[in-house]
Amino acid sequence: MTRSRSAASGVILLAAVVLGCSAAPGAADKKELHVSAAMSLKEAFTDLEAGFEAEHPEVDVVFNFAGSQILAAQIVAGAPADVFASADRAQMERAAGSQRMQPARTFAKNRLVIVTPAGDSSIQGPADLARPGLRLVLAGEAVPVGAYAREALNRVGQRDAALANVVSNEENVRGVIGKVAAGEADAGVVYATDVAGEVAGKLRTVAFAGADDVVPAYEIAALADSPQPALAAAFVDLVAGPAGAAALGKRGFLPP
Amino acid sequence: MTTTAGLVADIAVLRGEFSLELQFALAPGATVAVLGPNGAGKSTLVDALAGLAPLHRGEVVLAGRTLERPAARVRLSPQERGLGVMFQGYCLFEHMSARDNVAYGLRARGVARARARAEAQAWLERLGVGEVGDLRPAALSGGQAQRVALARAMITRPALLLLDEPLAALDVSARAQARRLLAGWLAEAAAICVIVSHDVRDAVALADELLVIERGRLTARGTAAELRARPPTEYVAAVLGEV
Amino acid sequence: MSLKPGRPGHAHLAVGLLAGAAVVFFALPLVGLLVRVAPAEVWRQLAAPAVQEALRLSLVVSLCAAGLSLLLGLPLAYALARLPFPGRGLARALVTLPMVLPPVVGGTALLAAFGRRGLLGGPLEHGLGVILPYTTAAAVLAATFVAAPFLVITVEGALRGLDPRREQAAATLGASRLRIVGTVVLPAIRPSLVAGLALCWARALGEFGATITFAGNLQGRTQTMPLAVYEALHDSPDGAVALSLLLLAVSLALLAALRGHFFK
Repeated sequence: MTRSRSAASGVILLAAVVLGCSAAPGAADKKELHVSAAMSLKEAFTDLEAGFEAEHPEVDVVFNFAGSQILAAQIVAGAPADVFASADRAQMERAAGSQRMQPARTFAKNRLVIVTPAGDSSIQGPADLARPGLRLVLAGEAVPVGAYAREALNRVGQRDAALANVVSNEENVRGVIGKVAAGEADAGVVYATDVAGEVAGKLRTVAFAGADDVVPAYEIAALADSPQPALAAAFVDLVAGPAGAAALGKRGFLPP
Repeated sequence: MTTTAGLVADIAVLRGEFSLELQFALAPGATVAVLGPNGAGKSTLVDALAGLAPLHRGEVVLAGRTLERPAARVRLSPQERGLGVMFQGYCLFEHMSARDNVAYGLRARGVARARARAEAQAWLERLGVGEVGDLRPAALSGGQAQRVALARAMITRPALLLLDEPLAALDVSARAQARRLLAGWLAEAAAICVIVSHDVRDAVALADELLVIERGRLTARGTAAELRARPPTEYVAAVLGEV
Repeated sequence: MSLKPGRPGHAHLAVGLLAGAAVVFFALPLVGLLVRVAPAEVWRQLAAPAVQEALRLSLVVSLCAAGLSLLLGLPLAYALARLPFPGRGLARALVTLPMVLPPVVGGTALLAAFGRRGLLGGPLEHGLGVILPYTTAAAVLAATFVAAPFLVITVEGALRGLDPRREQAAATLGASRLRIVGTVVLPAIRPSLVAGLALCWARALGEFGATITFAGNLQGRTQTMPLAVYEALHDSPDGAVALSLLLLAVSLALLAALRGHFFK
């Protein structure tokens, strides 16, 4: 009897552990606000976290940073989230196809730049990306920065030649930065805001001239099925409001 | 006593704590049995002669050809020695037919497959097992496997035949006949035969002369009658007393 | 502990429940794959050019990796099993490492060795003009790095289990070392060799982490099936399921074919 009872209690313990792990730690006394945000927003949004939590002490903001296409796919697949910040309209619209999104607002803009490894001065502008034999890394076609880069290359008439030089399609903008900084690629196209912090020293930035009208624009929206709509709306307001503008401006983003 | 045509063996082998040290010479055509208790060094002797265990001192000379002499840095590989060895438990190649087992030595010497197989078949027939040519070793009886192993060792007509416990794997009922047949085949072979055995009956029946090894040393040499008359050790007295 | 004999029912029940839960845990994801997409849609997805290309590339990369593993792994297994060289234990540990190493770490390490700023990559690029990262060759190297140990370990185990007397018998019969390996050693270890090669190939076919890190992700050049599955997950979930089903079928076929070797 004792043995079977201990086996049974083992099963219960195991079940408790599994369930306990799926309910995030620290949830006992705080509400969690799940924010799915584009990878390029990582530093700016992290800056905003402390202020929001100070204003709402009962809340713990939990970020999920990834390529917007991954986040949109998660939302379409029903993943729980309260707020979605996308790096382009296409992925926001894709997420909205799930009927889970509130109307979106544009809250920031960015700029495309070409990066090369530091010390390489052979690339002067977008036309050089079409040079035969160049090893170019872009984000994938579905990744916002990859879509912007293709559009910009199209604008300067180098799309096909440059795409022939692509050696890898990365799944988010940080993947592109990493490959170029490591010297494994000759050039990449990223957001200006990504050339920051420690990695900036390993990169040289070249302006993406001739595609000024290709302007990356970020959109944010609360999820309609958020269990805490007021908090979700408050976070969206924070990002789109003056505090958000200041934090984003400090990290190099442009006003909408 | 040494004849350049025969075998001169001055052997010193170290295997961990164990050492084998003995000297003997054999005339061409001689058949001797190496007798001794388990662990006396009989199989080490076979390995040393075959080139599978290096001498640490001494020499092995067969028909005027030096097979090994550490002092002169001479050490022929097992391949170069061209001996016939019948291993304890036979060590047949399990994935080959009996015929291909026998043909192996000829194939290794570059003989064409068809000719090697024909000759192997002839050897099997000579040893009375012509019908097993296509069988794998796993399908052979103990007696059949023994003859296949013997044919494999003899097909290259070696100048020295080493047989390690050639009868040990046979059951008692088959043993007396096998002993007689083996003695006949060895007599026909124009080779020096060294037969290792722990069974005194096999040793006496197969060989003219006995070499007795105990704890790595040669303790007696002579015909069965000589050793029985004046046994130099208790072991010799005990085992020859049984016959 | 009061152990009452004759009442094993409860213990058996507990074991049965846990075992049943385990079976459900392993089977449910596979069932999920199967019911997710209609069969007709699976066929349509598999006919897509990108999928066909990933399939072709996966076959090329995994077969090349298996071949390279055989070429390098067989002598290595032999050396580990038979040649008492100094540092043999260390060599075995190094070879086994990729089996337990996270593949993405393997990819990073490959970059550190064969990347353009890696130990060998610089000399390769400036001396021979060879740049490995982001090429199909890099995908083959990545797959070989993670898959070859399966072949080496399996074959080494078989070689260790082999009775050296048979090889000695062949030597006394005059066979050269090479002939002995070809006529005695390889036939004797053939079942293990086949099993090791199959495991190696399967691992190469499924390789993801080291490939995406070292070889990147480019359709037709380095985007093998697992990479295609991952990418498709975000823009064509049905395609991802179709590709997954194909990989699942290959794995099942391999398992069925290997049954004889592992459960003889």
